[in-house]
Amino acid sequence: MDISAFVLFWAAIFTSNILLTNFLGMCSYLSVSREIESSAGLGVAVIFVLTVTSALNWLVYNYILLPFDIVYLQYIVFIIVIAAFVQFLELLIERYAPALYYTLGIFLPLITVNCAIFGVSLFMIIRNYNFLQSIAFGAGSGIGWLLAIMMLAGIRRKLKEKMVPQGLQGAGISLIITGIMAMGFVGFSGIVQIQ
Amino acid sequence: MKDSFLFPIIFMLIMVILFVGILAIMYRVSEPKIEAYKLDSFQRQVLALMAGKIAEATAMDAAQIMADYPSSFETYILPVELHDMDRQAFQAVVGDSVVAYCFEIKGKGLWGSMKGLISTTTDLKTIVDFAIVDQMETPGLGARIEEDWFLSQFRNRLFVQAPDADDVTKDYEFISETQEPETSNQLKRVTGATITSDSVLRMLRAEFNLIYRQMQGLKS
Amino acid sequence: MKMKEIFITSAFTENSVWRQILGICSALAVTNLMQNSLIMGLGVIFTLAFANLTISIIRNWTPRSVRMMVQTLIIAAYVIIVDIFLKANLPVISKQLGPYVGLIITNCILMGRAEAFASQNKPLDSFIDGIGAGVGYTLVLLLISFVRELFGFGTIFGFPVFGSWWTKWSIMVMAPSAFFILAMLIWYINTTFYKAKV
Repeated sequence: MDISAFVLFWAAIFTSNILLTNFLGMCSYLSVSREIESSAGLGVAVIFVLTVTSALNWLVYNYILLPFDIVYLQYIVFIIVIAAFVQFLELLIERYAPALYYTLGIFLPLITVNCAIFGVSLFMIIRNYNFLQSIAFGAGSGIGWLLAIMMLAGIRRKLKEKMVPQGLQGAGISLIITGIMAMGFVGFSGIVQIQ
Repeated sequence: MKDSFLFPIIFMLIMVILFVGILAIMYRVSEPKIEAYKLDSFQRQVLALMAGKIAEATAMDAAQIMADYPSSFETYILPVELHDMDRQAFQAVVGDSVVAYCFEIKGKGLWGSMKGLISTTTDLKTIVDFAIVDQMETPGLGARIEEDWFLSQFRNRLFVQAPDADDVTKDYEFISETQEPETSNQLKRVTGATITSDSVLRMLRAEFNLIYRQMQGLKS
Repeated sequence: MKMKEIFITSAFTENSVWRQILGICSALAVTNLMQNSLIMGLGVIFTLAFANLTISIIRNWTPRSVRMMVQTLIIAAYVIIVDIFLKANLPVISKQLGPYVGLIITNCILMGRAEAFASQNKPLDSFIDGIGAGVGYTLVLLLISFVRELFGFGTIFGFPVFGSWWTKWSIMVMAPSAFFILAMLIWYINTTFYKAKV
């Protein structure tokens, strides 16, 4: 029996949140979460790029890397596909939607080095997903990432008026909040069994 | 020249060719070693699953048999041809009689495919030993199916109960990890990994059905 | 003397993890065992040093427009070398690290050092800087995994420290603990070495 893409989608959001259980995409998560608006912008960009690149990389892997027996080059090929797609997207948005470019454009270079994007591509290959599963996994991971960063951004805004020890300010307290969030997400482990 | 249109492309191309070349050479050099290791660890696992039965039949120590790898593998283990299945199968032969079988089994977990090895008694009804070879489950949760307390539950378990029915396997059910089994068809599940635990059982039952039929066909 | 300064700066005073909060992504997941952390750290040191060296050597010929692509390519190539080496020589560890070796590519420290140091400095200096940053990173990994392995498994580098009476803390094996330990580490370092008030 195959795992349905639907289950995988929910599992990627909650039970195995890419950020909270696999620690992927931490760098931009910690630095961008200062502002709710930027977090939302980056999150949406991540969802879009993740969904498309996981589809692209799946096709590249199954129709180029496997037939030519050059699987060992997968890291290089994946990262180039991601970088090229982000670059292409940047050009496209700049050309046709300048307004969107000013809100989203600055986040695009950040995405190339976002471990979550690359990580999802690697995971889907290692876990042997089919095309539909890969897209569901990519989209789910993106939404999970957005969820995590929005939660942190919301908490950090509340935290601005609170007293935090100087040595813990910024990254330190964010990590602790993330830890508590991760513990909360462990509680979601039961969700998937319903389906 | 640095600002011309073509230069960046040519530069990029040279870099790609250079590095891909280096990697290709490195990979081709290490490939035989990687393959050899994979085969080696697989054969070791096959031997380990049947070492107990071989030990019974030869009056040797199971640890001794393992220590004698690879010569013991060559002495006792023979491949079995399964015609309609894409699985590897082995039999342990001592003297002229088969003492155990070992099958590669495949299934799906929560995150991706999983692979295991089971060794069975010669009547193919009872599991002698069970190992998970490959799994992609959540570390700390589902991945605990590799732990010995979970796998050892399957040791010496009767799996084929109704040889003539559609589903030949015995009906097992999972109980919580903290409970103790009361009846013989209860198994402890990994806490927080219901799907993964169920997948293991589902894989075992599905594969047992296939293997049992196949082997009955081969024997008769 | 100058080499030593570069090393100290990138390994300790400007440590990428606790000063710039970079590169935690690919690493925290492997900090449940010290052995994995050490191997991961060595992989990062190797990749950082040689990627820095290569990027620095070709820095005067690299066209600006493809600079990022070239840097990514070089980093990816060295990571694949590490991956092939592990697969051939340390297959058990390679299997445990799984996709996390590949994730060194997107470790922000690599791009960070390539941009901030290697693309502006001499090859040898960049090489030292790479080693320094890698050592600083490995140090953090080892510290975190020390706590996690000790309490989570009762062992250090696989050797049992506590006897069988030890109840394993399963929280230490799971993800959240890594966040707490890293936060504590940053807190401690900020107050002790950078004069932040408690």
